[in-house]
Amino acid sequence: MIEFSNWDLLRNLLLAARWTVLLSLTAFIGGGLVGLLLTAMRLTRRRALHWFVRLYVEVFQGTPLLMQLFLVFFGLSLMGFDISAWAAAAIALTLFTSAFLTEIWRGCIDTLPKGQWEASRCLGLSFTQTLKNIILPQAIRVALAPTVGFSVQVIKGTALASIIGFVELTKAGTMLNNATFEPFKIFAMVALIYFLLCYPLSLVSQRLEKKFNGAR
Amino acid sequence: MLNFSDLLPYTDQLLKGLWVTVELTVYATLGGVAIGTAGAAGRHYGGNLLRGMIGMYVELIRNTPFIVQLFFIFFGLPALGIKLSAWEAGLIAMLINLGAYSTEIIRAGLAATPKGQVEAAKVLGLSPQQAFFRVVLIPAFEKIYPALTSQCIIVMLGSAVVSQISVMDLTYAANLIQSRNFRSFEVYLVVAAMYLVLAILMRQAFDALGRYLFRHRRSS
Amino acid sequence: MALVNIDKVHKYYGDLHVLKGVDLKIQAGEVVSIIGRSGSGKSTLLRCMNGLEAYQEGAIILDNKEVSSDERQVRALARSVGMVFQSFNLFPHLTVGENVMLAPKLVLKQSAEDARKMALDKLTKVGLAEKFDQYPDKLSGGQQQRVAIARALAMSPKVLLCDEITSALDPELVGEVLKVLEELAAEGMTLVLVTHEMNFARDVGDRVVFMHQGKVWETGPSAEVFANPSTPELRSFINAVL
Repeated sequence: MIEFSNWDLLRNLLLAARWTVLLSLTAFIGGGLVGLLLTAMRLTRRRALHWFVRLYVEVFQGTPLLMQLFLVFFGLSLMGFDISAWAAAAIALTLFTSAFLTEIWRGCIDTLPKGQWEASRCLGLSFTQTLKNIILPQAIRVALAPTVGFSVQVIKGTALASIIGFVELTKAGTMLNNATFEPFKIFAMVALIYFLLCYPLSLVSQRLEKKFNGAR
Repeated sequence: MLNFSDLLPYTDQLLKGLWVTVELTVYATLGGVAIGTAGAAGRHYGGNLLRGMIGMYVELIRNTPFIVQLFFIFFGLPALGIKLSAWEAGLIAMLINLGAYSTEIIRAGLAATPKGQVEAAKVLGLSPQQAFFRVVLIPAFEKIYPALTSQCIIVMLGSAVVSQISVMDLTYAANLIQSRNFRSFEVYLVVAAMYLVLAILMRQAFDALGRYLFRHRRSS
Repeated sequence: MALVNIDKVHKYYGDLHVLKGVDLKIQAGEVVSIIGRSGSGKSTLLRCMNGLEAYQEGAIILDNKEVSSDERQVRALARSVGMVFQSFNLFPHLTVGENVMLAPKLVLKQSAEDARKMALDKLTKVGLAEKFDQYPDKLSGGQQQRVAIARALAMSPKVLLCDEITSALDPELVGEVLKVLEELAAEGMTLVLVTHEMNFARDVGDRVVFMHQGKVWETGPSAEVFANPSTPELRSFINAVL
């Protein structure tokens, strides 16, 4: 058995945590872009598009993230793509994130009073003008706190990539545990690193929410 | 090509796995909401020390992944001499997880209770406990019921991860079947659909319970 | 001994001196209206009388018991003092009947049957017996306030405190609530009202207490006080509101 000092353990975990961060960023940015697209589809007047977005959100919010990972991983290889665990995780987490962000943003747009749309129309603003000048500036303020809050869910979600073999923080933890048999220490360290990644974001989200609610 | 007929011989395994998932979810929901109610009450009415401790519990759980909590409980706690079966570890992880989230959710409901309601209970002579259970609790739940429903469903979906410590839940069954018939995509597709149905049924069950608990809101 | 004895009561909110030595005696069966500008301390005084607010100096003796804001005291007081709030504060998840029966069952340990009889009796008194199984949300503001009165009466209090109980009501609903109070007064119920209804204070109340700057500025029989206010402050107040 190889001897690991506490510092060795921590260093290895921190190195692996870089992949957690990278995967989180990829999923969050990708999910944000897809989410924007879906939100835009919801704002059009095409019924079919509304239904598509509803179904999309329902499916990704109604099934386990783990299943989504498996389906992307095995589904793409079934279609003949040679897909890495990294790519599968990035795609699945992007889809997952986009569904939740779309739903969060829908809620934010819906909280704006109908009067805002009506007043804009009476002033002769077009749909896109209303959206750009009236609705979005207000909606973004409301959306900021829950969006930052959801980034915490994305970071935690990346832990599941370990199950399809992507070596990020959690996978590194299980590997080190297999080598050292010190599960208590190792998983406490893993949890601590996740906490240090997530808690600041949670705090920012709470601050933003207070600030916004206070300003209202 | 997709081939679902290879799944038929494994219907039994799937149903057994489904039952384990349902069982875990029911226990975790009941227990987790109870923990959350106690936690929220402690956070709302308790002294500084209690409030601080509950706050730490909530933040610790909400800012770490469920799978790490699960591994810590299943692999880590035996090092302290606490031996748990996989099923027990899975349930405890779910309870602790939902307990933390529902503490935060229910606390928001308690905070939103109008002060006058509590005063009215007080001047009628109700004890703090009576006021909490008879007057405050149901309207507080009503305010946060949608959020609580969603969280319970999230915990049900998250329970797929307990398959990783060999709890024989629905996902475990899927893993087992695909290792035998090599129809991984089909198996996961079917199982994902089963989770989706479960999520929809769970929401309907919550809605039905809500209609009963909050019947004073029904427009007549 | 008077039913309510308020003796040199001082109350502070931090640095703010809200009650500056209030003296007041209320006899059983009296109907006392407390009037005054907002900020004069009248609602605070009322809330001190059943322990909802703590006071720092002096004493309030009610039904031979000293009032304090101690949790147990407040509950013990609930048997002697009823209170009706400006915002009704009915419990939204309970029916009208359940609202009225809750405290008699839980606090007085009445049987379900007795509590029901009592509730029906009190609801009949306020003219709402037929709403027994309705939820409060379905009732008008005036009806809700009458239920709140019935709920307080079900504890058979010796004195009923009313904190601006018509202020949240639409003008056309004020009358039905005042009518209930009038009937209670006629039956000999001790009533202490903080109110803006000057006509009611004059015509139904036995006595008016005018509060100003945290003190009882002037007090006397209703008709007299309204006809001949002796302080300039009360004179200008009456001119402003009547």
